[in-house]
Amino acid sequence: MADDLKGKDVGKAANLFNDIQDIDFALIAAIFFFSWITIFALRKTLPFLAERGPNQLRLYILGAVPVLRLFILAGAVLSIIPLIFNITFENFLVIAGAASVAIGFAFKDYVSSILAGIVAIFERPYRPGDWVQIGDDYGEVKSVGIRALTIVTPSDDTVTVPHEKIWQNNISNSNDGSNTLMCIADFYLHPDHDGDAVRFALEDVALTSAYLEYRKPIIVVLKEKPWGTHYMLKAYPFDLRDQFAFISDLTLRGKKALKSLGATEAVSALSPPE
Amino acid sequence: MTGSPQQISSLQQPFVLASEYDVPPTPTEHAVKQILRKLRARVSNTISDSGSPQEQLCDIDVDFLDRISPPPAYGFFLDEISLSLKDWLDRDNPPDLRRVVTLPPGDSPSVMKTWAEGFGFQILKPPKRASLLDATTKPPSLEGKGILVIPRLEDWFIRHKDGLRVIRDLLQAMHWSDRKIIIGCNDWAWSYLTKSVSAHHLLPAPITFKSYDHERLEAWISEMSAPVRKTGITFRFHKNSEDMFKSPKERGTYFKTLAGASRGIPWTAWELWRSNLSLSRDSQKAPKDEDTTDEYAEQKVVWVSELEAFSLPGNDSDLSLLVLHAILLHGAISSDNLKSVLPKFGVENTLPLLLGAGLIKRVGEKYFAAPAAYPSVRLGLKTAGFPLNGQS
Repeated sequence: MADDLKGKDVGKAANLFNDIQDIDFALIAAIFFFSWITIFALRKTLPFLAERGPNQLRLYILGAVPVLRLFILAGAVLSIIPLIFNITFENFLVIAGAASVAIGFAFKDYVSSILAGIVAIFERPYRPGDWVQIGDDYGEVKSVGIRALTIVTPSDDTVTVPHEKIWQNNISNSNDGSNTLMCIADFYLHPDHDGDAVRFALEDVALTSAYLEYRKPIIVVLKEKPWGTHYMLKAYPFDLRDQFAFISDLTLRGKKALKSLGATEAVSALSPPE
Repeated sequence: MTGSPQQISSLQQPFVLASEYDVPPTPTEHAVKQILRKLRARVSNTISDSGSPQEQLCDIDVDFLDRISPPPAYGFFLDEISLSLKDWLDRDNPPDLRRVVTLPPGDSPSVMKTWAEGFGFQILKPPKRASLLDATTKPPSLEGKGILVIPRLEDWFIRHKDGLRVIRDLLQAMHWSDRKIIIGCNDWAWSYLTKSVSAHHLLPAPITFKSYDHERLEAWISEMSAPVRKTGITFRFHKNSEDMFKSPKERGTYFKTLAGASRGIPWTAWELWRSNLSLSRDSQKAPKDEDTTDEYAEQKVVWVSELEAFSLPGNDSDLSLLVLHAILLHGAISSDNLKSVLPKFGVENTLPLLLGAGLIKRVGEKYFAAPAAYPSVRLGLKTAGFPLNGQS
């Protein structure tokens, strides 16, 4: 009787996998290779085309990369599994049990990042081409990988952020798939100035910028502080990649405009001038 | 000079609202060729060393070119303006005392100025552009009798933090004036002025001409070239040597392509047509007759090449596009004024590059967009996401 039970257990383990002579390794290798080469080609070609194609399509082309990669990977995995495993309900339970132990002990964070990455593709807190703030890092999302995304900061630093950040952290997205985002130029003025004149002058500074997006509003907001007045000139460039050039342009010409009005800068944001 | 009665009477409403301007379609084959050419240029991302495509083929000197393709008088176009404004001109007190006509860039000399001079209307002369930045510059008084014409509203501003004051004053003065005023404006400038000074709140919706489709262009250019053809000169297609004016099907395709390539703008179409004419297929001139001083006396064939788009400079295209956009906004602008409206250095080096590529022209100290290159320039700006001019 013990021998019978032992024989049954061996048979069950053997049936988890297909017979080795029935496994088409060449096909598995071909699926791996084809999937890898396709993903590699997409990751190189689409960003290349996005940078050289019409500006209006850039973010759509960039955003397609992680989606297409997910579909290709899912297709490859779903194609390979039946080639290796003998798909039955009992076998599924065995695999699920083994996977749970592995995930729980060794791959918890890795799997969490992968799942977060899949969720991010559908919820879209970020996508390639977006400018996002995650923690202390602000930059352009260059690529969205399986486990992590890569952002490039204005200082040209490349930061790799695991997807699992979305479970606990706020993701601040400046453009959310749009070709433009709000830029703010700050001015700090001594209290002794004509507020109306300053506001109109700053509006004209924005209206005469070479980078201005016509279809978006221009807003001048001011806040009174103990040391003076803080003006925020808010406007949109027609291409978000020009955001820093735009802010610089607004700031430089804004300073000239304010100087010609006789407004003086607050000496320090922390202490009032004497 | 006037256009043919048939041309005018066939158009019951020669001008339409600018927002309804309809660009003629481009034949598919030509569009595909241009897309492939553009893709090659964008992927290689290099400066074209060959200059404008027309440079390679245009081996005709200007005098002969003027003989075979004389500068058009645009008389028919002026008649269209008169017809469109006739009802308004005839009324003593129309509901709106102002009329705005927007035109794409490239009309030189100014069509509106020529039209106003023909009728003897008073023309408001703009101040020098640099003086627009001066706080003491004010628009002249609009007092007076009779119709007042402002041929180019774009001459009244400069895209500078101090450059919008005069045009704001002018718009207010026009709003309160009890004179009938006709305002001409470059449509790129109109789009900008709508945003910057809310011109569309103070002035009525602009009108513009109906686009010149292949039929109108064919009739117009056929009529212009008729005197030359009577002297024995034939126009043959470069690709197959067919006589252009004896091959209706080929001619029809050519003019459909020309209408699409020129966006239905007559002066652009004329420049493109002219720049695609050459003397010989192998760029060798016909043998000269020893007994005559006329270099072209023996020239009997003028070759018509396929239309090709202009290439924008590959390197440093950001500054090139900023310069081109600023030039289109202002109509015509000097390099000093250009420097004051652009945020980047390097304008002095970019202008020769654009001149060499045939994208801009210079008259005196002022630069303006070359009419033949205008569709390519517009497409380049659209691709890069720049704010555009509406439809034309």
